[in-house]
Amino acid sequence: MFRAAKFHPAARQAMYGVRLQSTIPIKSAKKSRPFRRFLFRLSMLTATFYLGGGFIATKNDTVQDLFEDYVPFGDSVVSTIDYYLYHKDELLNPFSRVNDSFAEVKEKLGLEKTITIPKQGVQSDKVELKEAPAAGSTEVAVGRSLPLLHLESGDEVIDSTVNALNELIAALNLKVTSFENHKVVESLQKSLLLLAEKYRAISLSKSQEQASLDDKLKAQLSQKEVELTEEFVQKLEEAKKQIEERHLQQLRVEVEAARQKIELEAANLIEQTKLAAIDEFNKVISEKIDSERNAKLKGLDALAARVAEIEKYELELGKSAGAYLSYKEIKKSISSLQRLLSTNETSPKRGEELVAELTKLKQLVAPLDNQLITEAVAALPSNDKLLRSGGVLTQSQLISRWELLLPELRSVSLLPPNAGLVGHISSLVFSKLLFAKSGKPVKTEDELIGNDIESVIARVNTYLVKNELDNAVEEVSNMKGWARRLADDWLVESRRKLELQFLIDLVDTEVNVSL
Amino acid sequence: MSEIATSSPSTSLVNAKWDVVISNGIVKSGLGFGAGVLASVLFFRRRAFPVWLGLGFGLGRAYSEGDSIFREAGIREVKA
Repeated sequence: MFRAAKFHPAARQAMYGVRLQSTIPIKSAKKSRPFRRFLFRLSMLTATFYLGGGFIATKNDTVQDLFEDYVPFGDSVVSTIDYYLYHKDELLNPFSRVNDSFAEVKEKLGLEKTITIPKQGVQSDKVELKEAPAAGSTEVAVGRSLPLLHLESGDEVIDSTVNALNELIAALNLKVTSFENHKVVESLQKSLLLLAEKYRAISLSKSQEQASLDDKLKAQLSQKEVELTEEFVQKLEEAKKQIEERHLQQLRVEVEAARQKIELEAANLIEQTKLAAIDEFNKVISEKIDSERNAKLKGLDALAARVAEIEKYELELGKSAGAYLSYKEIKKSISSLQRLLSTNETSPKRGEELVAELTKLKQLVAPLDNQLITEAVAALPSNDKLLRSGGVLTQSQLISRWELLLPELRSVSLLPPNAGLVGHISSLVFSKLLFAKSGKPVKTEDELIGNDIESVIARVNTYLVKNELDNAVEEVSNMKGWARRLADDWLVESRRKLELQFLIDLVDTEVNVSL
Repeated sequence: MSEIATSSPSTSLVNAKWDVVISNGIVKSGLGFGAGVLASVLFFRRRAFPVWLGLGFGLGRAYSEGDSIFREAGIREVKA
């Protein structure tokens, strides 16, 4: 432990209790300026962002929209970049715009020409003051070069003049002596005179030519006019002739048509008179024949009429006798059917009897050809069905079947909708506690008062006792749920009986009315 | 009076269902009971609780099937 402390500086420090510290100040390798660095980075980032964004914006439309909408000064940046993309030379040579602005200034000042100053400056030449007044018109301006004339016409005179002028200009430019100038001026004057002469000659010949051309044109015009007038007159006369011809032809056609029409009418008149004469002749003949016949055959006609009348009476009589007979038969059949329906005695042959009677009735009413009766007979239950169910039940049978149905109806009377096992058990138990009603409970709109199962049962009982089967059937068919389904068989039987009764009543009434 | 030739009269609709429910109940509770007895003998050293449990299962099954028979959910068609 001790040995370790001997060597370890920290242990030594702990021993002495003093911490050794260097007196040399800590020298930082680099002075950190965080704010400046931040500013620099920020500006670099901003510049990069604007430049890059603007460049991309010039390439891509969607980026341009976004950049201009959401970046401050975006659109100006984009437009600037766009400008410099197309004016790269300005970007490389920033002073080119200075010249432009200088040109603008020139325009404003109205200066058309400026002297281009050579780079080494203006060189002044010596001017000979003696010669200046002698020359008079010689140019004093130095360092100015007059442009040469460039004109090439085919004319010799003009060419020589131009040459002389060019020589003069060259001489002036070269600042030659006035004597040489004089010579040149003389030659110039000469050529100018020649030019003037030539011009006069040309103008003279030109006016002469024009006058001769005018005369020729006038002569041609008058000749053409005469020709045209003649042609016109000729054509007019031709047209006139044509019109006259056409008119004549039309007149001829019309006259012909009128003649034909008149002829036809005349023929018609002749035919008509002929027909009238024949008619009259016929009439006279038939009158004669009639009078003859009336005299001789009058008795025979009267006899024939009597015979026809008697025949008709006979037929009617036979018909009514037949109708009466069939009526009697139908009546008999109907009454026997009604007896069968309303009887209370049961027999195993009831169904067959009923079917036999119905078949007879159908045969009897078939020749009546009454639509209502035919329909009613067709609507009767089929023989097969009647035979299968043993005809119809008697009233007492219906009542007894109803009585058998009652405990079942009561046991399901308290069922809730869509009842399960518990519902059925509870309905079975609690229906034993119901009081039976009697008489004819009043029916109401309410679902419970007067419409409960006990009221319905009481009403049906009353109707059955009173032999009002139709009302009983209505009550039962208005029941709902399980009760209605349990009473289904009973309803079918009752309805069949009612149906038969109603249809037979209908046939009876119709037979009474129609016969 | 000749016989009515319908398959089953409408008056006995509910009764037919009751028949099915009760017979089904007897069968299912009997099965449960039997399974309980078997389990009791084989695994539980003839203790009573498996028998009650099996009976309960059988009754519960019978009840649920009876319910659906009355609601006509048609768990299975059993002709009475």
